Amino acid sequence: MTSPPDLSVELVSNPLYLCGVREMASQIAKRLGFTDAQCAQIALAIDEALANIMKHGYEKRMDGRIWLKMQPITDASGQALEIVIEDEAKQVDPCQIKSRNLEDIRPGGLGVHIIKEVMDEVRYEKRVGTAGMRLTMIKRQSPPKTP
Amino acid sequence: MRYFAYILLASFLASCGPTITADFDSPEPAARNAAIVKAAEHKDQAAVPDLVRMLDSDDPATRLLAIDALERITGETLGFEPSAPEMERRHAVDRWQARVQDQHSAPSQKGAS
Repeated sequence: MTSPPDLSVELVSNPLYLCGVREMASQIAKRLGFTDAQCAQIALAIDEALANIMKHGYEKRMDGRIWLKMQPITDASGQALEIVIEDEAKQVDPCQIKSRNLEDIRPGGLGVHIIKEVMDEVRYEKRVGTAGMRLTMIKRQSPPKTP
Repeated sequence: MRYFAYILLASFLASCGPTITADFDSPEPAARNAAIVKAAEHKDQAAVPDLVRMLDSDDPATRLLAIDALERITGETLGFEPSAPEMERRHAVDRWQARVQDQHSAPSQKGAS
C-alpha cells in the first residue's frame, strides 16, 4: 500500500469501537463484491486483529492509537482486498508470531490462528523508525488455484 | 520453612495472571474456546456432542474453532462453513446433530440385537 489508501480509519484501543469498525469493513467488502461468507471472514479477521492489539499490544490500555487502512487491489489471482493495521504498541519479533495448528494453541493465542485461517495472506512486521507493529492481510474474491 | 515460602510464592504468582477454566457451558467465550482447544488437543471423541453444540454459537470465532476441532477429531466437516449465512450453516449443523444422534443410539441397537 504505497499510495494513499481508499479508506483510512484511526481509532483508540477501546473495545467500544470494535463492533463499528467490524461492521464498516464488512459492508465495504460486500459493496466490493465479496460474498456474505467472505465478508464475515474479513470482519472476523479485523475483529481478532484489533482485539489482539488492544489486549496484548496495549495491554488493555484504552488510549493507544490504531490505524486501519483498506484498499481494493488486483493481483495475479484477481480482485482482492488489502487491509493494513498499524499500532504503536510494543514490538514483537514477527518470527515469534507463528502459524500454529489448533493442537498447539493455547487460550489467548487464538487470534493469530483464526486470522490465518480466514485470510489468504497474513504478514506481521515491525514498523520501521517508530514503535509498533504492522499487520497486512489480503483476502481474495476467488481462492487461489491449487496446482 | 523455605519449602512453604516457595509454595506461597507459587500460589501468589498463579493468582496474578488471568486464569481460564475450559468449560463448554461457560458464559465466557474464552472459556468455551479453551474447552474447544483442549478437546482438539486430546482428540477427545467424547467432546464431539459439545463441539457440535458450539457450531451454533453466535461467535464466529467459536464456530471456526469448533469445526477445526471436529475436523481434527473426526476427519470431516460435513460441509459446515463457519462464516456462511445462518440458513446455510443450519443444514450442516443438522447433519452433525444427526451424526451425534446416530452414534449415541448405535451402541444400544447393537446391544439389543
